[in-house]
Amino acid sequence: MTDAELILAIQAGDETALESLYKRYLPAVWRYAYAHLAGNVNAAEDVVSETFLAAVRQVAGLVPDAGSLGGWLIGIARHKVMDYRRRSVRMTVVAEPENAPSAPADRTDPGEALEAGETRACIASIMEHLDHEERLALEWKHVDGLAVREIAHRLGRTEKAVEAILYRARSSFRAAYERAQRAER
Amino acid sequence: MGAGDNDEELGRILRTGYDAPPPRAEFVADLGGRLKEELRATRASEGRSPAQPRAFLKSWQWATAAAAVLIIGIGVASVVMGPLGTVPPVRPVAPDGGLGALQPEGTPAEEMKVPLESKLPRKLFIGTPKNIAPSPYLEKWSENKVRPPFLVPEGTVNLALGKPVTASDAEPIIGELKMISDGDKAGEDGSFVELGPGKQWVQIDLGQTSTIYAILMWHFHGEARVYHDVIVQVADDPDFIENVRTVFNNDYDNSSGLGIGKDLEYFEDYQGKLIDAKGVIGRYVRLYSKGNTSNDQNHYIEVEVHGKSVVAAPTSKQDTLHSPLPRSTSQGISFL
Repeated sequence: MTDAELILAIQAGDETALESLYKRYLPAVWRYAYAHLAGNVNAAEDVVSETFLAAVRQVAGLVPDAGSLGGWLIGIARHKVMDYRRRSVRMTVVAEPENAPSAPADRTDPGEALEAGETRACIASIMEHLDHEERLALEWKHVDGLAVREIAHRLGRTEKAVEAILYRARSSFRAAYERAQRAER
Repeated sequence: MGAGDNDEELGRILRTGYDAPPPRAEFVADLGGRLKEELRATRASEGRSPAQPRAFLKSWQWATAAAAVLIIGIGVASVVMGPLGTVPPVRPVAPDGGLGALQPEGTPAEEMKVPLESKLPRKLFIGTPKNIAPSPYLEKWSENKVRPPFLVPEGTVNLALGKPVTASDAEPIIGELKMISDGDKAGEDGSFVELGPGKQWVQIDLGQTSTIYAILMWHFHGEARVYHDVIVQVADDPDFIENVRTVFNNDYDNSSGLGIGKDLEYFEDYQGKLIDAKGVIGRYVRLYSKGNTSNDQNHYIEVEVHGKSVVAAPTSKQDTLHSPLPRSTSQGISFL
């Protein structure tokens, strides 16, 4: 089903369609939240939950074909991340030191952790600035390993159009990545 | 690291730098179940949406009739009180029917007027709006236009600051409703509230009956946008049944069903939109909108309601005759 078909089915109360949408976009929303919350799994879970719940509450008012569903979801996630950060700042001000959130514990070498964190932040920032469809196509193709045909089906585009989107996405990503690399040196 | 010269290299960079460990299976299953429950609950609540306004009066015939009542009322008042130009200072009627008239705290007979003060946020949008066609219903864009000073009685304050805000969409997609009255007018991400698509409203309870001289509102000023069907009303009760008065309405085709508005649509910018409320008296302020030129959602950064609280004062029944403001339950018609 295309995104537009999914929206129509969900508006009609089809829970299977809701499940399909959830499975389709959970990886992208999860990845986004994880990348922008410095690998804080608990925070990412909160943001992903709030994002999808808000989307379900608003789905009745969505117009199929009016825009990118993935872009809309990431847009919600972006603001949920900001809401989370704002709340965290308030909590940090009043919290006792031992209650402060701890850094991710999966890295032992601080130098490595710092470098990995910087790379993540850099790539997250580049992805953030890509067009919604370009970002999704890039993720689906290179991280999730989907075929162009499947991406085209999801986006409701032709395969040729998706190839063009991917071409633009790769070009934009490479250009931004090279700029970031040069700035680092 | 290389710059992703080929697709495989680019994929490797993305997988190592952007991928995340998969979410916990329990979390995925739990959220999936909650989403289904939410869908059922949302569908069950359809048909009793709080966004549906009461539209008692919306045709031109009703508007004409109300206008006739207003004209007759003014005529009677002029007979009782002399020519319109000599009407004494207005004493609005108390909600209890006249046992105690209301007047702004400390209002002298002749009030000193001062420029309304409101600290403006940083200007974000620079340039000329694109993709928004001129229209007879839309104000012309002028980038360097600065609003002239707006005079209000001395002692006027922002009554909305920190006051409770409710909305047709109780759970905004983004942000929290209290941000609408928190004093933060910055246009950056994180400072605005996003309500769902279509017609939505937000409402501020000023806490007590007040005289309102101006309403300043910022929907979104990160880019040039025009919000549709912007309607601002003041009422005595939270359900907007009693004494509803419209102080601004740019719904030129009545697509929101609250009456045809004569005000123009306008471009959002850092200065916000100032509405001359002309001393209307009420406790609740409700602001409608219905999407914008960029998307179907509705946004609010801040709403300021400048006025003075009103206090009860002893008065005679004669005073109640002096109010030129008709007490009405109508909506969609401005008596101002």
